[in-house]
Amino acid sequence: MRSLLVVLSSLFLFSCGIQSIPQSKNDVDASLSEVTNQYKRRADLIPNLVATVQGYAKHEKETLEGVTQARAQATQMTIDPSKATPEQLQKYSQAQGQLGSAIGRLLMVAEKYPDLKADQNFRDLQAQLEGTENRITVSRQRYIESVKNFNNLILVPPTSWTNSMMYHFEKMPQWDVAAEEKAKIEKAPEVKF
Amino acid sequence: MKIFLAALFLSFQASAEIRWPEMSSAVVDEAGILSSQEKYEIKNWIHKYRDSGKAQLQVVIVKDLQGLPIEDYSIKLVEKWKLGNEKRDDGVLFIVSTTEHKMRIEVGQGLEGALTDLQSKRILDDRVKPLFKSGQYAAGIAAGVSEIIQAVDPEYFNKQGEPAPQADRHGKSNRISLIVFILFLIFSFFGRRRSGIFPFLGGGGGWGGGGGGGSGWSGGGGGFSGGGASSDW
Repeated sequence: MRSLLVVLSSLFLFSCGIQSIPQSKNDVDASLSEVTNQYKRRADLIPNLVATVQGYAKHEKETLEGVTQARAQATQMTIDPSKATPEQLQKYSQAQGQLGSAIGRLLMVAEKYPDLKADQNFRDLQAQLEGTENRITVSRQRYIESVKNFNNLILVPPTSWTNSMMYHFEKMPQWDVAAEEKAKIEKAPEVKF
Repeated sequence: MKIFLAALFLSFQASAEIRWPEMSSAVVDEAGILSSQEKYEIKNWIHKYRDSGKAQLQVVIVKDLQGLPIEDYSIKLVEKWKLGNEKRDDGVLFIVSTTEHKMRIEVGQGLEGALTDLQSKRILDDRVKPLFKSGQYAAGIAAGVSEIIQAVDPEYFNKQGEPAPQADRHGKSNRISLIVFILFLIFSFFGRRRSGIFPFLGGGGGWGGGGGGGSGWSGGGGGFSGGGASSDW
């Protein structure tokens, strides 16, 4: 009788989410902090980028200021990965989207200045930016994947029963790529000929 | 765990349309731009380096990226192959696609300090690209591999007392390596014949057959987070 109980309870332990729900929550938190980490990395590159472009393209004041402002806004907003609300996340991704489009405009402007494009420092910064953008993409994909796993655990039986009995986690908001893209489109670079 | 397996299963299904290369050795050449001698030499450097307890390098040359951006293809491939040691995360993938003329160095998490995005970019742009442009593929790949080793471990070639791999070295390779090469070919041929589980591997150089007993080349669970650089030629 006792061994039966042990077997039953261990079955319960392994299949009902007692372990996997908190583990999955930890995965979500970890992958979100990786995302914010990479965004911070990008923000750290910007002062150098602005300074380099300024050296060759002083007249592009508006674009340069736009980047600096967007960076200030984006870095102001910090989120605590384990307690982020959907609204915070959305605002955060919007701010990052705006920064992304500001950087895009700056790089487009840079196309007009052959000397700038040939500058080794600028090329190095471009390579670093490219690398960081790729890391952002990868970390975001992983975050989205981990949120999907977590939501499956707390919404799909039988693990969802464990959640409603013990943990009471709520469904996590998915990373709003749309908000970020929208922020980019709203401030799409103007092409002047 | 169940969910994990289910997710794993689903992700396999989702990526079913993409045909991934087989991780048969340290140099996978699906496009056939290397001669078997060149391939053997480069493979040898990588194996030697790996045996000294250092990073796990992997060269992959594919015909095309099946519609994916190279960054996507490359991160998915390393997630699949898990290059590098699980604790040290010291895998590096050097991938080349001949149709799109794209290449990328994908750097494992543990090596991001030694082989930065910028260094990867410079290796590709300054060393590999000029050689590829003039059609010297083997030389370009050898240059890329030796630059990667040097970036990860600047002392390596000095310590070994061995010159850095060079493009034109393959002409005067020593006799022993040739014998080993032939032996390997024989073993991999018979290996494949016996087991018969790698019939689809044909074509290539015949390295695929080694899978079971031969080289034991496989990933060790290393993690990647998108570090490295891409370029073209």
